[in-house]
Amino acid sequence: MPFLSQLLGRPALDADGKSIGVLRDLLVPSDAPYPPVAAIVVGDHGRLHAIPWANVASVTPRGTALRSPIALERYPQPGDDLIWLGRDLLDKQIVDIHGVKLVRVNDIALTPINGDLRLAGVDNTVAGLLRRLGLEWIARIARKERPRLIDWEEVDIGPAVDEVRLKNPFDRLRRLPPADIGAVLGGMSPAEAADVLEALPDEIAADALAELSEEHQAAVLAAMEPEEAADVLDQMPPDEAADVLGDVELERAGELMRLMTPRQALEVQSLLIYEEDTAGGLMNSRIFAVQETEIAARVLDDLRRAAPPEDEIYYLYVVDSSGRLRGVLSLRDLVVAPPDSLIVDSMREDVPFVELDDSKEEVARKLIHYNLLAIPVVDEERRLKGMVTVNDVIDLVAPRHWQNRPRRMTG
Amino acid sequence: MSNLFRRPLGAPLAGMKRLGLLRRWALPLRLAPFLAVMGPGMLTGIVDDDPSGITGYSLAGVHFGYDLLWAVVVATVALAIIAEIAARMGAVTGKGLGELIRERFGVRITAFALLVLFIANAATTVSEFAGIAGASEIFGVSPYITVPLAALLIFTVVVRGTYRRVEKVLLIGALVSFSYVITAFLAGPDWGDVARSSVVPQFHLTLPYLTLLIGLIGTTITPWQQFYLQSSVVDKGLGEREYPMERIDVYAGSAAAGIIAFFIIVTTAATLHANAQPADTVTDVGKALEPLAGDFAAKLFAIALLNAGLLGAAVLPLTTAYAICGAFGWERSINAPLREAPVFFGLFGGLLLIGTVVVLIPGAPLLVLMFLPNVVGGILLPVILILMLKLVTDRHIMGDWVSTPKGTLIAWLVTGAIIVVSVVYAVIAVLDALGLVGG
Repeated sequence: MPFLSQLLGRPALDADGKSIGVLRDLLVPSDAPYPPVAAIVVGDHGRLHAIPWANVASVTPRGTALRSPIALERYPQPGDDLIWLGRDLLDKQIVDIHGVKLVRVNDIALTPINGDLRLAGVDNTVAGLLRRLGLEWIARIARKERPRLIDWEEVDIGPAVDEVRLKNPFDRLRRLPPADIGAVLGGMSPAEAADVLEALPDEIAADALAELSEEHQAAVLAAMEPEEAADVLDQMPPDEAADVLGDVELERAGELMRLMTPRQALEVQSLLIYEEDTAGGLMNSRIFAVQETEIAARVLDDLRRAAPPEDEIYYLYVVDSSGRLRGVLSLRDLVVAPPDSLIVDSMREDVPFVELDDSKEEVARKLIHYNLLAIPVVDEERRLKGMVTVNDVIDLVAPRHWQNRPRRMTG
Repeated sequence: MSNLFRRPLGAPLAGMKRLGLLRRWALPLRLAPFLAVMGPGMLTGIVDDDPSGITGYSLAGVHFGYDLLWAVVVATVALAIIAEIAARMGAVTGKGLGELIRERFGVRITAFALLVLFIANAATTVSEFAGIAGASEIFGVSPYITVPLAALLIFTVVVRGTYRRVEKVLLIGALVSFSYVITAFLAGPDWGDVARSSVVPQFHLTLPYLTLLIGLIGTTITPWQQFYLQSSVVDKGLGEREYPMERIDVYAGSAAAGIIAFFIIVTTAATLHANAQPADTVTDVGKALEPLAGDFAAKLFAIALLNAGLLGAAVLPLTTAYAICGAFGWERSINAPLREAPVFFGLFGGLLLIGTVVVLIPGAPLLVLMFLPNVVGGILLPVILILMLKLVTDRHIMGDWVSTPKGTLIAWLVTGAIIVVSVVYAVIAVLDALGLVGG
């Protein structure tokens, strides 16, 4: 199985054995599985010519042989509609979908199948680097097993190739869970991550952005086009959007808030008055509260329509007519309650809560102490203001090195 | 409807405690206001005046008085031109210099360029530790205690992810260097002489002069700087939109580095050179600050040296490890646990170890170790500059931000001049070694 680096730069001979130039690149379509080489690029005195695969007899490390005598000038300058393996992919960064990380392409493995030369996989090993350096013997001495390639069907070349040239940019990356997309983005510079987020659907982008560290989020947001950034912020829960905006420079934050939908901007604005790392700053204020005088069936209907996020649906906080926190109802309590019973009859009154000014540590401590997934936040008059979920304080609950990390030189 | 929502946003923003700038202002109130407005360019400029810089400029003043002042002016302008290129490449491509070199030139040239970077940076790291050792000698503490301690401290701080905070303290500490500006005035130099020497080149075709000249260029413009600056721009997410502001930051940073360099030379020229005092040891060089600090001069110098040494001893290995891992695709976050980024921490720790061990060789001449990397850096610099210029003139990479023909010409002239000085220096050095010219 030849590697791209062993093919490029070798002489190209026509059917008469006459040298017509040097192999400069291989072109493949972007959308075929294990794409076959569709054309080769032969360089002759600085000019490049694309020769269709049909005219190629073989491409091997010894050289490239053509099927017939060739008048090079008949073949045009290659266009940009195909992927250039050498120019576009070699040495660039792509995503290893299976390993969930960014990798640099040290070499590309090709395999001859039924007269085609097909792309098999990507080599990101040190052995690949050594091969490029002409020091393969070192790898041979040190090697214990065959070098492992990343299967071509398990990579996303989106970060390397200009997105207008791909039919579905990031089509493999976007199918990963948001946390995994976040992990991949963490390995990118803010500008690179911004390019990915702009290409993804807003909801996926919002979920992925939420997975990044605060500083990285701010930098990525700064690197995105303002309109795109605002669209993504619109899709985030208000508390997360507020967190992100809190780290962005004032002027830019104002600009983004003006571009966001008025409803979301207002919500975010109301959260930004609270200090970061207090219950007020952490909470989601757009929550589903239940009046104590409601009946179970109607609440269930309302809940179905409101469709709160998954980590906020387990607890329904019950308030009186002036908005004061009265009790809590678990989703289970609601479902098993007789349809026409009053909420006040199924709720539990001894509900733990935190106040707006309580510190993040205090919030985390109470969540852990009472074994809760979420806790309500109230003001000094015990009016319900929002809720904090365990996700909002995960950095205090889980070890630091489990969390997504930015790829930065410092801090 | 939407207007209703829009109106309140202006004013209430000011009341929001959490919005970035406000919070960012809260810290400087406790520390120092300039940190808030400091961008990557200013940061790089400050780190530029590290122990090798302080030594290089001091020795220039000690041995040749004001004769090398013109070189500082020229080198500062050259620094601004080159740093602008690095910052622009960062803002336009969103990639570090090592990565760009890899993507454009392939594995071989990258391996060569990064080997050059590694050698230059290893030498500079040694000089940072030499600065720490020199400072510790002035304070009468054995370097065998302080140097390993400093290395351990830096390693711990970086591995534990608290480097950012420590860096802020060290950057404020770097303000000590400004004591040279005050001292220069107190020393009462002949300002007419200073002004004349700043614009009229004074040449001596001797090995010591050329050594100091190339050392001066090599400490003002360094390979690591370009990597560090470009990565800082990239990591902040600064793009084409912010670039006009960033350019000002870069020029301001270069100017700050140049101003300190200028006054170090004026100070040492007006004190040590004027009084024909020797400068054979670190303590001797520190005596230049006597007009300001009196008997405390050497200690003030030691503080500047220690601070700059710690800062440089962290920045140099970090930049090196970061650039190499980026170019070759190895994990390189300092927030990663050690075992997940073995190459990154291996390079980082390895450079700290090299610095520590070399400085602690019994009888190691600290002043020489502080100065030598300037010469190494000066000679290796053209390799990096040529690659940078090839990148920044590539329309494929830079798009509309590609250098103008005029800008390109100026940058090539700067690079060419540095190469000429390097070659002349190498020739003279060889002739000198053969005993053909008198030192």
